[in-house]
Amino acid sequence: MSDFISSEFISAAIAFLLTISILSYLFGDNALFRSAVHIFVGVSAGYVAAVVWNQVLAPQLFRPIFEGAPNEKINASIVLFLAFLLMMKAIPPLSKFGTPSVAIMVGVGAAVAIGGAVTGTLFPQMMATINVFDLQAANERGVSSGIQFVEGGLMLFGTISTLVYFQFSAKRGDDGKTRHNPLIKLLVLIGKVFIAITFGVLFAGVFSAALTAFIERLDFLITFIAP
Amino acid sequence: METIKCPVCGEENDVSLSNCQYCHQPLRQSTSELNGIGTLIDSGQTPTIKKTSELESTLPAWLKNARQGDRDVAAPESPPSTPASPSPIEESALADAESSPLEDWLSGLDDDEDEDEEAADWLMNLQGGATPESEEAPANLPAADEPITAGDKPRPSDEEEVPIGTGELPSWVSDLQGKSSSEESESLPDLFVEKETPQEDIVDAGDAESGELPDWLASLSQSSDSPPAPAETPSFEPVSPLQADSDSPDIAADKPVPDWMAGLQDSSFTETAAEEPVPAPEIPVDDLPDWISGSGSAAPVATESLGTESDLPDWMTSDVKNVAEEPASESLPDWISGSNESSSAPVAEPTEAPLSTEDNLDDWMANLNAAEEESASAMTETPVDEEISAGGDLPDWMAELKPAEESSSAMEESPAEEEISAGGDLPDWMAELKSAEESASVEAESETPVEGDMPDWLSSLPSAEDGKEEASLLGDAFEEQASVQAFEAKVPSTEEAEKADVPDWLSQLEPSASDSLVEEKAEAPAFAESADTPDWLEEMPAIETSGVETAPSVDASDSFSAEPEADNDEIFGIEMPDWLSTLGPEDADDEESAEVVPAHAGGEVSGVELPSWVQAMRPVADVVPDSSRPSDEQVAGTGPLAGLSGVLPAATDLGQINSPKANAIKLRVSESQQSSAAMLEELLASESQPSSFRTSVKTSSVPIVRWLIAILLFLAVGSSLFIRSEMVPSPNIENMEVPEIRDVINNINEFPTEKSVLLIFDYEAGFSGEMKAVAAPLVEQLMSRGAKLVVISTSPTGPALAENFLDETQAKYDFQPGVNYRNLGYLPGGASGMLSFIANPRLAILAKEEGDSVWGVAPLENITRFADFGLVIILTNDVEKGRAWVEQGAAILNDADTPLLMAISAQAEPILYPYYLSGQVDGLVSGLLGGATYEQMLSQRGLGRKYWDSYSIGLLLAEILIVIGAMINFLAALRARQKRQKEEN
Repeated sequence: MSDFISSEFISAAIAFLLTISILSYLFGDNALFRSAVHIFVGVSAGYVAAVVWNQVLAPQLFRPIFEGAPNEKINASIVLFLAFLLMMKAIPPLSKFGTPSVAIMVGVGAAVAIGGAVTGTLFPQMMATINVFDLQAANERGVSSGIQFVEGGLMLFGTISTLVYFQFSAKRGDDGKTRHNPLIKLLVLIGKVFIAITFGVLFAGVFSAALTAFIERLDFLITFIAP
Repeated sequence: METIKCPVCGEENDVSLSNCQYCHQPLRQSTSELNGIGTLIDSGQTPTIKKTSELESTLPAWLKNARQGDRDVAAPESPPSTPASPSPIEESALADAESSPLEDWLSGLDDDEDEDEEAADWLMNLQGGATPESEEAPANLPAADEPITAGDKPRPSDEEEVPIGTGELPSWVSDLQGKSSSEESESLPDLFVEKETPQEDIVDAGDAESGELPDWLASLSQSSDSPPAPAETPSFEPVSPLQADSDSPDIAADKPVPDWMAGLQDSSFTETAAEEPVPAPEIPVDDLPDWISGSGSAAPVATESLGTESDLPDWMTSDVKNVAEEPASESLPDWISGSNESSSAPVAEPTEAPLSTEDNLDDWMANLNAAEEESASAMTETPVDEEISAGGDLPDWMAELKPAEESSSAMEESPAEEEISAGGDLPDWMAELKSAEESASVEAESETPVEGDMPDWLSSLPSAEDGKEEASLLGDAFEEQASVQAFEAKVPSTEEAEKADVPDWLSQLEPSASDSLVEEKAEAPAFAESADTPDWLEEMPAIETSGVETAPSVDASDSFSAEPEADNDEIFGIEMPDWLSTLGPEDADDEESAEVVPAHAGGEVSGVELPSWVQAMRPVADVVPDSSRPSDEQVAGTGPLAGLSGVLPAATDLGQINSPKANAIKLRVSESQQSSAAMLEELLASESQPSSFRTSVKTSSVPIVRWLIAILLFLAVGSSLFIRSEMVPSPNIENMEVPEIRDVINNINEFPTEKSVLLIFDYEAGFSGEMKAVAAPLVEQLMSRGAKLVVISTSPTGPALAENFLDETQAKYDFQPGVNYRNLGYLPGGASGMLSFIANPRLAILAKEEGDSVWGVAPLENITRFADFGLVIILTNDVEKGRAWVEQGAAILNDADTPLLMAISAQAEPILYPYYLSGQVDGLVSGLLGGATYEQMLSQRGLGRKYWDSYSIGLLLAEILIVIGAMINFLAALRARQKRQKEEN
């Protein structure tokens, strides 16, 4: 009896009901599904608010103002002031006062994102594509040079063909129709194949993730029903 | 080359020529040439007197011939007409008379004898209706107050017992028949003042309207008044049906006389004499044309309004003042002054006032006046004094004639005469003839009313030509005095005649008429016998006196047609209309008539102007284009507007229209433009075409397919889970190259355990099941090595999921928070927060635990920077978060030689796997397959293996369903294609 009233059981029962409610969507939109969604949203929002207050606002904003050092107070006051201006965005007549805060956020965010993309994605990925043809390195790794060359060539070909596919510029003929170079047409066609494979991989990954989640939930239900 | 047809000779001429190269006549004749000014007469506008000498070219040939004949005759006979011993005054007066514009009214007519065709049609038409002579009104006379307009309809008199055939009479003639003389008395010119007769008491002044009768018509009334002219007055009496018939075209049916003219003659000759005289007509003079009403009223001139000098024109008033100072004969022509002198002595006292105006009179007029005065002196009583005194508006010559009229009025003053005199609008020449007729034929001149409807010259022509014939037509009735009296009784007052605008040329005729009366009645005015009298004037009375009494109208024609009868025959018989050829002075004496003409011919007849009523009948400005406008006006060669320029140029203009230049219709369009246009056209066409409505497959409310798939999945996955079978072997790690997993295992196995491991839980709750299966073997490996874990998340739910993950997957290790691991919680700011944390973890996370910073407790006490972590493992299902962590921290970690591992969801593998290939990520475990493989490699039995069968069955089922579904769709498409091909075939 005590097992039934344990917190684990209650939580598992709630999880079971909520899981059943979500799976009820199989029969279409229904009250159980909406109820589970609403509960999830509400609980998430409450939890997020609690987390934000406990882990962001209180320790990083208000506590430095009231308990922190002077420099922490100044920094916190500046942040608070910017936060106050940002809240003005909710009031249309005063929304312009929130512009500075938004500007700082967007500016900093863009700088961080662009900087990270350039230094963390573009250059490394280009170098990786180029280094595929580093047969010596491949030999060091114990990979055959031929295989590495083929693999590198395929990767390069796939990359180029995919990029060519996104090149929509073409010459316009006398009849007004766009005309592509036959080589470009071939690359575009190969790029389509690579893109299709990529989409297939993405779909497989999504399906695999979803299937794993479904298995986990179904396992939970089975475990809850038949532990 | 464009040509223009000469309106005279009909020859073709070049358009550029102004005159015909054959006949040298102007090719274009604008309306400005016609009216002398160029301004058009608008509807309702009172026409102004204008010089109409230009119209001489438009006169009919017969009229020109007549004028030419006059000149020819006048040349040799003019000397006898001059007095034998004219006094200096008379000489000067004669010279004035000769040079006077009064005699110039037909001066230019002889210049263009052959230009009948040049006359405008409208003017030609007037020959039959209004007689062309009526257009040649004296230029110096004022226009009638109410000019007759072409649009006026005949207004029948109220007293007309028998309606006059207005269709036969010109409307304007019928309108003017009923005019009362009394109403026009106020505006009568001065000349009527002198001719006023003591007939006021019998004048029906109320019937006449002032200013309606032209002068020449008024003069006719005077002339009918002065002598015993009862015979001609009845014809103007519209009261009687006979008189009405007189206006009808019944006269001389055997002649080619127009109907309306014939009717006039008939009625006047036959019926009026037979019937009892009718009381004074009440026909409003307004309805009568001026010249008719004037001739009808003849002698009786209204005098009431003439007495005031205020009504007199300036020139008249000044003359009146000079009367007492200067003898009246001074300004008169010699020939008139001679007669005036002879008659001035017996002038009665009542006539003093009008005589005082003789200063401005020409000599011959003065003579006339004297003659009239003499005749007036013979009369028993003449109330003329009042009338004359009132005749301020009378022209001088009328004033002079007044005594003569008085003398004639001594015989009887009939109201009829008064009526006739009301025709103040009669042309002067008409009035003169009238008076002449009256004086000449006192009895049985019932035809004169008819003649009063037509110009005197017309009425005189037949008399001269067919005197006998007319005499037979007249019959005895015209000779009866009773009819004369009856007619005279109808004559309205002379007030009407006083207002008449007598043309000068007609005024010259007037004395002649009065002279004839004087001679016939033994009361001949002195001027008639005077040597100063112009020849033509001397002939005028001779014509009438010598002629048959019934032809008083002959005088007028003789006045300007001095040719012998043979000439008249030639003229009128050939060129004149038939009806006109029948008219003429019956007994025109050749000599006298010949003498009359020189009077005109001798005078420098200047160009005449159109009478006002003729102007009014002209095309108005609304119809006729303004000739003053410079344009390529064309002269109408035919039609009613023949001779006029600027009319209907459409015919020639249409011929001159050039065909428009042929512009290329084809557009210059390139092929690309054409293809674009075609493409657009196809698009538009496809838009307009109704798309075939594809009948969607009716899906049932129950998602059977969805349920079927769900059932299959539930059964396949659930069954494997439920039976916990391991039908599907674990991933073959021996034959499978999974370097990323191997790298992860190696990095975990190689990292220094004294360093903390940073676990970044950046996945969502929905992927917790997968992430548990993926990351559980990895974390377990760490836990097995005793690593100190530091948990952080950029997702608010991440810290909770981290706690749940550790609790469920690593419960066997009994890790205590704050001892074995530290949950730093939520890292806000996204990529910025990541960068902040990577840059300075202590500044990014200000969390405190029990009042102290978390960075002072284990396992964070050694962490001052991001590279201090011995191993960084990113657990995420979000590609962006995983990429952001790699982008922001991979370089720092690589520099610090800190491995960066990733345990990601299967959905993020395609995007994040390149980072492993690029070396930015040192190891990677993705999806359930990676977790199961990781377990397999570590010989673990975890969630990977637990879910592997279900996962494998689920994937297989999914693959089967996908293949089945693809095949079904393929077959459906193939079937639809075959069906479409069958339909097409």
